Amino acid sequence: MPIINRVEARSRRVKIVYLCIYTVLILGALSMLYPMILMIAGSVKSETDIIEMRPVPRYFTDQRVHYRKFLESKYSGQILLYQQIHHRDEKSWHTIATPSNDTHKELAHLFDQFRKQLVEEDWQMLGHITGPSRLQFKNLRRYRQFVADSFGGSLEAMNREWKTAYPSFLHLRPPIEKELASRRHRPDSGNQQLLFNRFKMSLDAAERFIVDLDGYYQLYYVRPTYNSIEKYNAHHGAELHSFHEVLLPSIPPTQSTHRADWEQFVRNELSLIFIRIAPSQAARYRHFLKRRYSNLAELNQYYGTTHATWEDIHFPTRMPQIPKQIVTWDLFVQEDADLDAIQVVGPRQEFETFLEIQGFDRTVFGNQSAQAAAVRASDWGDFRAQINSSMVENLKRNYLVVLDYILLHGRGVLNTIVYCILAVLSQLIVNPLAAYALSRYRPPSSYKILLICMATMAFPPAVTMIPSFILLRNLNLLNTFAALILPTMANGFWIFLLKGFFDSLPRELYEAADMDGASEWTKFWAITMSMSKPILAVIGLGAFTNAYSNFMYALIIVPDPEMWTLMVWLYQLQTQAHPAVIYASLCLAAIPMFLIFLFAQNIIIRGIVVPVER
Amino acid sequence: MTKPLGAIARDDEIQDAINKGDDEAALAKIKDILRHGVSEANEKMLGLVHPEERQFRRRVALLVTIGIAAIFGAGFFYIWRIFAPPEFFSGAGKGGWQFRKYKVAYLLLAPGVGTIALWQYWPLLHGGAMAFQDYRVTGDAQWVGLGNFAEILFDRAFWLSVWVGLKYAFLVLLFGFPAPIILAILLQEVPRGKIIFRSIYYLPAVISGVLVIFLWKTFFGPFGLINELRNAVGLDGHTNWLAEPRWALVCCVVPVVWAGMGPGCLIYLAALKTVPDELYESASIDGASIWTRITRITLPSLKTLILINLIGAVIASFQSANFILAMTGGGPWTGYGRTEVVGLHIFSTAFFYLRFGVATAMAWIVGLMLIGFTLIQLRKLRHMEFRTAG
Repeated sequence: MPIINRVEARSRRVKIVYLCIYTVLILGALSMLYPMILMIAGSVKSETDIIEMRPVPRYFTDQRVHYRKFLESKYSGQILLYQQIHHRDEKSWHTIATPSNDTHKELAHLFDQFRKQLVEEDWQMLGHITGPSRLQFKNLRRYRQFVADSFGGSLEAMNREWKTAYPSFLHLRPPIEKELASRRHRPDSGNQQLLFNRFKMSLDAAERFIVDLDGYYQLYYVRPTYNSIEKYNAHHGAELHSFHEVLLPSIPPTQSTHRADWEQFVRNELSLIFIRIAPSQAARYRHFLKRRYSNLAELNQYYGTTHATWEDIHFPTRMPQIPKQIVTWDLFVQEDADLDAIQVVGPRQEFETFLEIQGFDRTVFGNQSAQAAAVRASDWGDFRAQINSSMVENLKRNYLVVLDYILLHGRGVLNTIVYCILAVLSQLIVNPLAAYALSRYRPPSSYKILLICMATMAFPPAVTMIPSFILLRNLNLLNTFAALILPTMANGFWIFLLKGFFDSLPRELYEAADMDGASEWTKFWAITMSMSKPILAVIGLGAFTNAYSNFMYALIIVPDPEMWTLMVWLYQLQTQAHPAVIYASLCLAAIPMFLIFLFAQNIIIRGIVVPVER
Repeated sequence: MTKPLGAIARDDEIQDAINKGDDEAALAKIKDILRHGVSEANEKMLGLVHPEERQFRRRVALLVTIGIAAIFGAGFFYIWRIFAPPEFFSGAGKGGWQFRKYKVAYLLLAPGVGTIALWQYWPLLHGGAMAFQDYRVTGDAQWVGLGNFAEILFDRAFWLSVWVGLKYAFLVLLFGFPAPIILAILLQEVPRGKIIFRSIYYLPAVISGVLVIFLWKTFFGPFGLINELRNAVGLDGHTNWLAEPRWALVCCVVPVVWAGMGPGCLIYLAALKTVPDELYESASIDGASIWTRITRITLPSLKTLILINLIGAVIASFQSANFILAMTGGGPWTGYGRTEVVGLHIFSTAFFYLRFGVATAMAWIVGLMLIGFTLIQLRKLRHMEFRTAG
């Protein structure tokens, strides 16, 4: 009971004492809560802000940070994609600047119209998927759902059609599209790609972004070749301020150094999708084919065609669809086609035409790309329009990953429940039985037995660690619940405590029960156990806590994934997941333990056994 | 294996020599450290020691082993005395097991005692044997007699880890032991919000230990909370406190104290409830101040509990290893691990160097150091009665 009594509490001095107590307690409580809040805050973060240790994530209040996170999600955590498409130099998400004002609303609006009527699948990439940070953004989830739905939820059907071996829909990753502008990117016409394209085009245009050839040219050709804009200017006699002003012209430039760059890049590095060759090259193409294939029969056999004469061969002005023809086409572009007959047709060119039709004054862009300016305006506009859903997505994203993971390993939840129940029950039966035997029958050997039970306390646990494992192995108990439960079933100290407690129960109860002819079971169950509920609750809570949070030991003695508990699975997740996801998993894992403590704490306090000197 | 590299990186002499441009001296010192590292690796991993030296070590080990056996034997006899009822020694009364008469009792005892025998005593005996073997994971154990003990007793690293362990235990007891008692008394006094505070202070026990370690590591890190607090008062710097030889051990203690406070205070809260109200009432009528009431009534009533917990805390803190392993792994290394406590040293000998025999022998020596405390605890418990507070 309180040391300070009610009457005193009214005096001023005691009130000051109370004030001090509360201050100390609140400061301490804050120190306890602070890490919890950090943990919860961490669980709703991403690569942009995970390094900031703040109790309240900055993006809750700061739109700039929120915008950065939006971009991180949109470009699937790939900063190079962002650099390429926004024509910006920021090396990490948390340094991205916000567009200074909304003056480009009109531009954003026009760009929105433009992208909505754009039907080319291979000009557009899907945003919000997943990237090097292993965070899983919203469209990855949607894609998995889309695939599952289109196969009627049958994983088998999907694997059969795709000739894949995905263990679950949650293992699905969409085809990689990050280098659409690169020659290395070859269009894939497999079922998996087709379904992905269908999914990609079914979404709102704001979920996609359009490939930027200039950005690709700057990032992967001009920069690595010239290193700095000064060197570029010196070499070309130009006066540009940054690489972002180096745009890829549609037709080969006339100035020789520019022309050399253009030729090298377009012939060898740009994706064939964006290259057109004038029909005037038809004769040259046939000549090229004649040199490659000694006779027409060979060509027909290789392509599976039935051309009667060389002149029958149709000259495609753009990349053909058949893979074998693409190879030849590629070589033609690289080695033979007349440079002045080659033309680059990409999104910027299309967008510029679109702007012209709409009567938009293009001179405002100066040397810069109209497409990149429009994307910057449009992304900001998209962000403003989606700000609420983006917030919700940020809050739930990592939790959904963990929940999906737990559901995927649903067996782990079952294992945990079985393990916890068995651990609690076994300890609540074995210990009280032994204590009851000592307390009720008082065999003359009591002291020896208690001594045997408790003497092991003296030995450091390290001595028994390895031999215990060897014993489990020799008894063939590895990978069984028995291995987890049997060794901890009895505890000498609990037996000692329980015996002491049972001794203190009133003898009259047992005498009365004896007179009524009660059975031994009734005396054990109805009297002893029912009067010891609080102390049993403490033992049970201890057993539960140990079983629930045990992951190292559980992993060592149960190496079979079929038998893993939730904690072992979460530990596995933590070895490969993004820190934000780790935080989310820790938050979720703490919930059962905290709820149990919250609701059972009164009974636990009553059950704590306090030693009193006799 | 990176220990020598750490020592080189941290060595002031080398730093000085390099700064002065004296490459020769720096190189000599580096070579010295590396040579020491080689001989350490030879000794630890391959067990290469000079034969004469080995002979001498074995003799000492023989004496020590006899000593260990004697002390454990005496200890066991002592506990036996404590637990045995007085009649046993005076010869009066009927002792023995009397299996037939108490067969129901023995039947009920069987699962509990059987479990303890199988899962505690059998590994203990097996482990006892391992201390005299060169135990290999592959299974072919060789008897080496007292070799393991001989090695440990002359192993500087072991004794340094004992010293670090003592320092660590001292710090944990100094800060970690009184904290829950004070917290319990404070919680007992507040008229409102008791349950909320109690729940909040229990939070660290709810979250995974992995997280506690992860959080504190970032707090102590170059851009962590500690440095931020220092920056706030104008002390600039981005120190990694866990890598500071002088502070690393203290840094390991803080989280232990922090996390142990809430769960630890529960038992004291329960005990405080058993203190009769009348004592406080009459004391306040006599005009005793609050402080006097705490020191004269509260603490004496908790005396028994405090003593028992103290002994338990001594044993536990001296044996602890897992937490430090995850916090620092034993480093920073300045010739020896500044946070490599003896429990961790045993752990790494067993699981990193895979020398189970030596590790087990070390564990027995630590057990010997602690046996005194265990005996006191058992004797105390013998004279206790256990009650729930509710």
